[in-house]
Amino acid sequence: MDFWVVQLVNGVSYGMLLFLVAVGLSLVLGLMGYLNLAHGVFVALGGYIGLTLVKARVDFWLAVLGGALVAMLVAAVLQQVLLGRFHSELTQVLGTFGLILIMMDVVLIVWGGVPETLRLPPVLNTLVPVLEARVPLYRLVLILLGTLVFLGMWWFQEKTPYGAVVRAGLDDRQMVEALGINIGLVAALVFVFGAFLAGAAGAIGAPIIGVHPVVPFDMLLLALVVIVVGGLGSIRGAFVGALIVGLTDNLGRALFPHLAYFTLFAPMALLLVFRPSGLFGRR
Amino acid sequence: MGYPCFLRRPYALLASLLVSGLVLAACTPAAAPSPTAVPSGAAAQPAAKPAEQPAAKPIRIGVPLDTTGPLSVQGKAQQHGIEVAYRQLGGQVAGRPLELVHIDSESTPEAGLRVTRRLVERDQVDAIVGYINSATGYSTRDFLHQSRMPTITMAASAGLTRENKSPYIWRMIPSTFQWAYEPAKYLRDKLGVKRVIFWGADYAAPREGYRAAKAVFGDGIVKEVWTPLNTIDYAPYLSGIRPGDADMVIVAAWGADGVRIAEQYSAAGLKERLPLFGFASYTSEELLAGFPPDAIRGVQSAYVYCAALDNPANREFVALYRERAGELPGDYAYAAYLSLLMMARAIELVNGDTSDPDRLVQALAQVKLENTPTGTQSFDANQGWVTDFFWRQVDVEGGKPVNRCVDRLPQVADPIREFPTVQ
Amino acid sequence: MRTLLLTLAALALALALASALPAFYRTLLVLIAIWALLALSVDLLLGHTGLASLGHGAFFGLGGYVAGILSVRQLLGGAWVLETLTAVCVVVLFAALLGLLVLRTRGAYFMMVTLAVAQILWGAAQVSRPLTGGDDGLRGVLRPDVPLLSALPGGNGYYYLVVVLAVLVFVAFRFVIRSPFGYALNGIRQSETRMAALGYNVFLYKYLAFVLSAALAGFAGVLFVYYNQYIHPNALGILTSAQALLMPFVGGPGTLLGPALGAFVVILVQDTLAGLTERWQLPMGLFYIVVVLLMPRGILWFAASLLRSGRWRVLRLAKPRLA
Repeated sequence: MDFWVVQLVNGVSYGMLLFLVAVGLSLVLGLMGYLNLAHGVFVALGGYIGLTLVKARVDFWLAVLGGALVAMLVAAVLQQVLLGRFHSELTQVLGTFGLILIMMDVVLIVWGGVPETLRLPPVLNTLVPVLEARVPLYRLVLILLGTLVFLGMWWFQEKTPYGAVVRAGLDDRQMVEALGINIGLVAALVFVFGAFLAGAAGAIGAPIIGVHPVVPFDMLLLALVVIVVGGLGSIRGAFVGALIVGLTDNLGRALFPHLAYFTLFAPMALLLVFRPSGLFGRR
Repeated sequence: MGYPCFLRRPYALLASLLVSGLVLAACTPAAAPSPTAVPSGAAAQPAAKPAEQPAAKPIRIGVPLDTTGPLSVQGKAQQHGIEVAYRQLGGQVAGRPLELVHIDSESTPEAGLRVTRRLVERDQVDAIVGYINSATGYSTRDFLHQSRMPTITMAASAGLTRENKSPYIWRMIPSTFQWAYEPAKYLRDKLGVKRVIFWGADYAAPREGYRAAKAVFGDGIVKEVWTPLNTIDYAPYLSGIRPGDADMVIVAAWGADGVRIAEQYSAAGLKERLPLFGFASYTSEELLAGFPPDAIRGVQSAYVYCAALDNPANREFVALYRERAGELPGDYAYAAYLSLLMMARAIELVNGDTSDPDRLVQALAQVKLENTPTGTQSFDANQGWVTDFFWRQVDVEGGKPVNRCVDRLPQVADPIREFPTVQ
Repeated sequence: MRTLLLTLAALALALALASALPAFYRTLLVLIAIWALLALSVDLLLGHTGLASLGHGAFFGLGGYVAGILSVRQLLGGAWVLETLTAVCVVVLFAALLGLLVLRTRGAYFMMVTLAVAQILWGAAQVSRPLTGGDDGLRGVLRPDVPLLSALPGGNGYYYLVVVLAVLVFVAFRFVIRSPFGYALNGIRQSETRMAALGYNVFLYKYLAFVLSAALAGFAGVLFVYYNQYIHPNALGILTSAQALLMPFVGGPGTLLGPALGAFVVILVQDTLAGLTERWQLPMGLFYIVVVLLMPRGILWFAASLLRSGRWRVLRLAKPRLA
């Protein structure tokens, strides 16, 4: 019994991380039709900056915030200077792919390639009894955080006028523009916020994700799977998709270790066959 | 959006991107952009008398290393180790200037093969010293053999001294069986470890190591944990490990996986109650900094070097290395350092005549380095490395993890007799 | 008749070039030829049908692995022609099944699905160690022996064979894209709804293009495994697919020579950078970005727009008539 409890907690907490990483990408893709392969770069940035701050004896939560802020800043700069110039899907794919390559070298130059991880404040490592098992507080904190972010975003999107603009933009961008609303600005803000979340995930999730030069690729792949499963442009979709992916991946590895490579992609492929636009997709 | 006016002009933007990129690439600390090391000034001297040896023509040694990609830390360390050896050799061997042709093999076997082709066909090197990725060991084997290129490889591909042996390829890194067998016996006989949990990343090298461990522990391996490469969350696997089940968990996984395993193992509260042993380069000094000190404290390992060794040769090596790299050398750096020295000694044995690769490889069989930081170095009959192993344990000093040298296993060779085939 | 003469001329030229080059550059030329074929296969979907695939590594690697496994285990007695045919057939079968599922999506979804497929194959290659060698890769593939061409400089007849085959494939490709089938594909790229309104079975055309593209990619994979005498799961991975997508983009999508030019440029850039600096990823990434910004329709179109009054034969050869 406690095996299942532990697996559940692990799967859900991992899913929360994936949600934080993927939601920004999903919204941007749904809102602007913009495929940013370099999204994983924000995760890596969050992790590396967070690591640097923690090593400089900054408080853990401040370090996470710092990582997220830097990721957000870089996203803002990139958006203004570069990303707006990629107009078609293909140019976006290739251009952002080039960004990944650049980022990997920058990381190597600045931080070296030693794979690292973030040291958690000891309190997060305390084991907490849940039903019959004991799980690290860290995992529960991840679940709490993910849920709060989801609820906050959902409330924002459903209950506020600004959120209405986002919803409208996801449905029919041209109409929104015709109404005189600067959807470009909205999209830019969404993009930047998504980067903030991704950076935060990179920092707080570092003990799970790790901090090393290949993070941009790893995270990109996972985020894409979440989006495909959950559907484009949907916060609910990203949340549910992330939970599904997190749980299947964890359970799959625990129960069928030999099939580890498949437990991630096979459900995705299956879903695509029956529901090409994902569970909550908008197209 | 109103961006600054110069950024509106795409060409200006592109020009500034290009320039900044090139500047960044050129200003990388450590390795200079030029791949060839400085040949000594004698390179341009014409031969004075016909009877003189061709002293002016430099010896070119190709150095393909993984300086980008997941193995970049190892590749960089190897590079520094080779530079230290180059310096100790005074940039020349057997009266001829020595020229190193560095190139990045990108941690992938195709790139490894591609740059090897370049070294052999375009740069026309006389010998090759390098590699680390075991897949690259296999991808380059046929080409090196067909080109008859004397090579000292640091790829741990066990097949290179077994089914895929070539007279031209000599291995200067322990094979998988080599780093598993004797240390496993040490655990069993000297430390009294009877029951172990074997944890391996799921690919060839750990699987081979497992066979060696199985031969030593037999049914003492109470549990096997196989995790796919680049697994991010090890929680599913950790939940199946209980401290009372075994005396020790022995890990064959490295790089980012190794760090995550140690971290998450420690976070799960297991390390204090069920000690961890890492095979091979698990706690190599190059990688040590990546572990959170609490997670890695007390972890043991056994491999070819220990930076804390106190003898004149090692003090010199460490000092020279620190000057180059700014940090302590580890197993990778050390193996690379020795590799260049071994090749140089072989070249000396043929009086600097690199025109006949068969003679050169015969000389490699005879090489025996004595006054090294870790004792005698030589190759065995299967062209594998015979060297002393060191038992290390990690301690934390000044908030940083360091290896303490606990014991020494003399002249460990590849156990070919016990494991004659790779599968 | 004119085509035949041009083809023979192109063959003679290519062989002469290959003979004249020093050994290293000849091997590089062969590598470029192989990538040019892969780029061409991607372009059939990209430049002509309007589908961008991020998973062509799957077909490339699958073809390579099948041929490689047949060769290493001598399952067909070392008859490389049979090995090639078998490999291509396996890829065609795979694509035929896959196409039914995958072609319901388009745009970004299509990219992600194709990426997923390639990753699944990658994972399969990693875990099937007894069959594929897993992460160590598959080594010991025997290179085809071509006695006739081995008389040429370098003694390696296989290299010349690849050059010959590449030229022939390009000629054949030209026929395909200038056929009613090819024009229909271009029409689909421009507007699926219009073509459907005209009575075309859009799905069927896309499907055939997909399978044909996969076959070509698989063929390139076979040539690749013979060239290296080795193959690794990376051949199925995202880097291979991304590079295969970049090449026609760089050279000029929808043209005949564009993919080849793109392959040439990208490989050359890669080789030069590798020899210059260890920090090659940075300039390479910049290269991707610069190309995307400066030449969003590739070098050939860019050159054409620069020489506005261009009556250059090269460009006429390169442009399909309806573009």
